[in-house]
Amino acid sequence: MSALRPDGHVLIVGASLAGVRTAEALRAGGHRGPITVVGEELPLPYDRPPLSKQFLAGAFDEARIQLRREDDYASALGVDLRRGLRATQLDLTKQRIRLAPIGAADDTTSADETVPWDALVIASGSRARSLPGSTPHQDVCTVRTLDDARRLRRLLAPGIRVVVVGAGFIGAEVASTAKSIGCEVTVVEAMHAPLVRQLGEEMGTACGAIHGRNGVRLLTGTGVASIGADSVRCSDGTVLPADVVVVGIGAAPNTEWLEGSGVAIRDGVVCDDRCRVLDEHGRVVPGVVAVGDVARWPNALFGSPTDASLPEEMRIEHWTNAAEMAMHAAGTLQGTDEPYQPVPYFWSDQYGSKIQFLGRATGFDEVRVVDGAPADGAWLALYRRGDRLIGALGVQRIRALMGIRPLLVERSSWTRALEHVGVVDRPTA
Amino acid sequence: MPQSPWGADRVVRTDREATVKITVDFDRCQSNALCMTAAPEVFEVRDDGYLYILVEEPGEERRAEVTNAARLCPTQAITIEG
Repeated sequence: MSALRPDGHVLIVGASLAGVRTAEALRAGGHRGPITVVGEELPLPYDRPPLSKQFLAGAFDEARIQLRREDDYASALGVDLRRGLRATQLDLTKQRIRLAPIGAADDTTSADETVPWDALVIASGSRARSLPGSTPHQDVCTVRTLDDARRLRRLLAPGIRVVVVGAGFIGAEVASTAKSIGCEVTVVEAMHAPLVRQLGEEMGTACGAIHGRNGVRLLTGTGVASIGADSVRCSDGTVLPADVVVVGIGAAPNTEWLEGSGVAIRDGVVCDDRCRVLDEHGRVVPGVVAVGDVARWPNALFGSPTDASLPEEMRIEHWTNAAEMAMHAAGTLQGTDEPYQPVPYFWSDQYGSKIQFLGRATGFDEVRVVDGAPADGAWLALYRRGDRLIGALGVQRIRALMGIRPLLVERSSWTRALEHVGVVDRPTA
Repeated sequence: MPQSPWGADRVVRTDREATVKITVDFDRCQSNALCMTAAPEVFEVRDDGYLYILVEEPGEERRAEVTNAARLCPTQAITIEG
C-alpha cells in the first residue's frame, strides 16, 4: 500500500477506544492532515471496562471514564470529533461514506451527508446481542454503552432481584457489582459451564464457581424460555422473580453499513495481517484499514486449530486488542510493513478476584493447572495445542501469568513452558 | 486495589543520564500488569498484587518500551515525562 500522504484526510468511523487510539497514533506518527472521527453515541468517547464495574458501582463518575477531555480533541489532537452520526454506506470507488444523524427516520435521507477520505479507518465496533422476541418486562438491560450503564446504575439498589442472562465476563462482572450493591442475584447460563468458548468447560466451571462462593446463584445448562413482566422463565421450567434482567449474551460486529460495498465481511471485516481491509476477491482495498472489535485478521503467532500451517483467524472484542490494533493499523497507513501478531489478552475483575487470560484457547488439546488450585480460587493454568503452548489463564496470579507472555511470543513448546513453571511432564503410564 | 506502598522497595538508580520520568497514579492502577509485559525491567506486579516501579527514571534507551507500557495500561495510570 502506498503510504498515506502526510496532508491527506483520514476518516475514522467509530469513536470508541480503537478509533480514538488510531487518531492518536497517526498524530504521534507525524500525520499533519485533517482527521475526522465519527461516532454514533452522543457522550464523549469513553472507556468501556468500567461500565460493568466501577461506573456501575457508582465509584467512577462519567468524567473519570472519558478517554480524553472534550477540548483535547480539537486542540491537543487536532481531530474533528463528530458525534451522533451513523455511517450508512461506503462507496469505495468514489472514496466517500454516507452519514446519517442518529434519530432521523429511516426513510428520510435529507439530513444525510457524504464525506470523502484519503484513508479510511473502520472502527465501528460491536453491539450487544439481545434476546429474540418482545417482553412485557420494563427493565431488561444490556451493558454495552454508557447509556446502558447509566440506566442499569439507576435500577440497581439493595434488595433488588437481578437475573443475569449469560455467565460470560460482562454478565459475571455485572453480577459481582450488583451483589456488592446488595442486590439478590441469579445468573443463568445456557451452556453447561460459563465461558466454555473462551476457556473450555473445565476452566469455565472453575471460574464460574466464584459466583457461588460469593453468594450469587449460578444456573447452568438452562436457557431462557421467556421473560415475563416480573420474572424470567427458564427452559427447564424454573421461574426466577426478576425486578431487573441483564442480558449479557455476547456482541455482534457492526458491519451492516458495509454491505454491498465490496468489502469482505465474514463475522467482521476481513483484513490481511497488516490490518488492511480486503475486498470480496481477497484483494487489499487501498487506504482502508480496520481496527478493534469489528476486524478479523490472521494472526501468524498462532496456528489455525484446523491446519497449524495456516495462521489463526481472529476477531477479538477486548480492550487491549482495540488499543494495540489501532497503533498497528496507523503504522500500516503511514507505510510500516509489519504483520500484526499480538498475544491476545483480556482480564475480568469479579468479587475482588482478577481473572486474566493470555493467548488462545481455541481448539486446545489439554489444559493443565500448574500452580495453585481452583478450589482455593487462585491458580495458573496452561493450554496446549499439539506440542505448543497456546494460552494461559491466571486467577489471582498476576505476576506468574505475565511471566508466561514471553513464552507465547516465542511460540514456546509445551515442554519448555512446563519447565518454565517448574513442572516436570511425566508421560502418563 | 488499594494504594501501593509507593517507594517502599524501589531500586536506586545509578545511571546519571536518565531522561524519562515515570509517574503512576495508584488510585487508577488496577494491577493488570500489561506495563510489566511491555517494560519488565521497569514495572513489576508482585504476588501481593501491587505494582512496583523498579526504575523511576530510566535511561533514554528505555523510552520506547516505557511509552508502550503507558499506552497499554488499560486504566491509563502511567504518565511519562521528559
